[in-house]
Amino acid sequence: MKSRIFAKTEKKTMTTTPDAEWFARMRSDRVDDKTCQDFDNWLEEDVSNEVEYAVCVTVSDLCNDLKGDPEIEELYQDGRKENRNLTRSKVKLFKSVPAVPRALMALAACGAMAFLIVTSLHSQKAGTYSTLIGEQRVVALNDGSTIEMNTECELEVDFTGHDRLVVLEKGEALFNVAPDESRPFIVKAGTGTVRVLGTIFAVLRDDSETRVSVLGGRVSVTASAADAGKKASEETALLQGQELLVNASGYVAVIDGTSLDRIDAWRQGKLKFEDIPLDEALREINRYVTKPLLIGDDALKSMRLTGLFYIDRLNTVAGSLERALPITATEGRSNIVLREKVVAP
Amino acid sequence: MIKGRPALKIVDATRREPGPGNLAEAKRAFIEEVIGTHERVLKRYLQRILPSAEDVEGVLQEVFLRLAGHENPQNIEGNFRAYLFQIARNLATDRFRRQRTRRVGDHVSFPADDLISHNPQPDTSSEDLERGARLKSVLRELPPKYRSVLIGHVVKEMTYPEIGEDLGISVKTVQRYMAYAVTHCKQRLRGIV
Repeated sequence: MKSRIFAKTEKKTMTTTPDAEWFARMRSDRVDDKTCQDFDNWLEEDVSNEVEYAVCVTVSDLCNDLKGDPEIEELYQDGRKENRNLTRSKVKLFKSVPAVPRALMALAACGAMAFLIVTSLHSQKAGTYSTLIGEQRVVALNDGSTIEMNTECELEVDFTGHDRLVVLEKGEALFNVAPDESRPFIVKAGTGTVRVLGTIFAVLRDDSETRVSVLGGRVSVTASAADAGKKASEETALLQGQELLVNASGYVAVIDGTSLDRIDAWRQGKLKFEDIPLDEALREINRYVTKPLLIGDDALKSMRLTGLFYIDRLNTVAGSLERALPITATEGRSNIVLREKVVAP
Repeated sequence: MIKGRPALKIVDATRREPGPGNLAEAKRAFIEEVIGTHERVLKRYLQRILPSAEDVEGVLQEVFLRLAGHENPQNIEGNFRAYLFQIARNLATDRFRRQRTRRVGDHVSFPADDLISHNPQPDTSSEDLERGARLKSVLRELPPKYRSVLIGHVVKEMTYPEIGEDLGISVKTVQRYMAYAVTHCKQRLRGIV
């Protein structure tokens, strides 16, 4: 029961700021060149990013001064104990308290068993799931919900607390949430937080914004302010067919459900374009391919595309485009450049 | 430039260098340019963490004085801004550590390089004990696991995978808890310093 109370307070009071997220990310040992580049770009975006990041480092410097403090080890161990009580199996829990008298154990057993059964039904070990470029994958969670992951997606599931929590690190995923009124299903993606009880919705997170599309039921979205001084915005309720955009600074816009057809198509492994500008279509195609298609001359910007493409056959997409439009494709080492076909007089 | 305050003038720093005059002149020009470019952002940072305007001005001056104490500031490699931030950070945290025991300008003769390998000396003055206690009470406000992540990484110098293994959470969760814990400490910074 203690865990429930804990989870509730956690939900109410805990927030993160982008600078702290960057700080935590840069301290991990999985920092690659791309991340460094993104980090530099983020720093340069705004001087306040630089300032806040330096404050994070200062906090860490100050904590570092606690080295050798006699209470530190005890403070650290608290978290380990917390973990044992919450997630270890029944056997381990019993083993870890050998000093407890038998009578007391027997008395506690009923309550403990009930607690453990509930947690084993409801808690799923925290895990990270990801897809490669062009890959799609369905994850079935043990609460009955499913997550359909689209190309280049990374998400983390944490069902150890009171809420069913998913953090969408990048990419796009569709959530078909099993109803459970006592345990909200929460998806965090960038500055947006989606909270539902049972519904079906998709979340797309790219570098600049998060898009939430509701396919069924209703969801509520909260945008967290990018800068620590601002208050988190209020909840926005979204109904079936509606979409919402949250940008990096926490600005929210509710829009018509323009991507519902697109989501429907990718779930079937297809990309469907109906008379849309070529560059827009290419942007979408490029999400699924390792060699992006680039526009090589301005003449292509006025072209429009209609067609159906299969995601698992996009390696031949350049050829299909050559047949559909007056263009030629030149394949380079890292990309494919499209240019207008020059017709001999 | 910040209104109401004249630009810093570098007077003493170059005098110690007997080299050719044009070299000293180039350095002076360089430092004045540095001040023009980076002063505002450094000031904003110092205002975020230091309690009084007096402290802010003091540290800001010392940052540039230390830079002037460097033999060849023009030759500092890498990200110059990050370098300035590092000096400012070290001086500011130093200020929490030994308030009033040092005076601005004491270290003009120190090459700024010393600050990069700066290592805080264990200090047991009553003010430090007090600050430690305040910091610990801010850490106690965090949920235990978040606190363990921060302490594990920053104080015990464990890697994320090591912490994850020990606490039974994924590496991504460690990273997330770290972000939460740092955000919390930032919000409570005034309670610490």
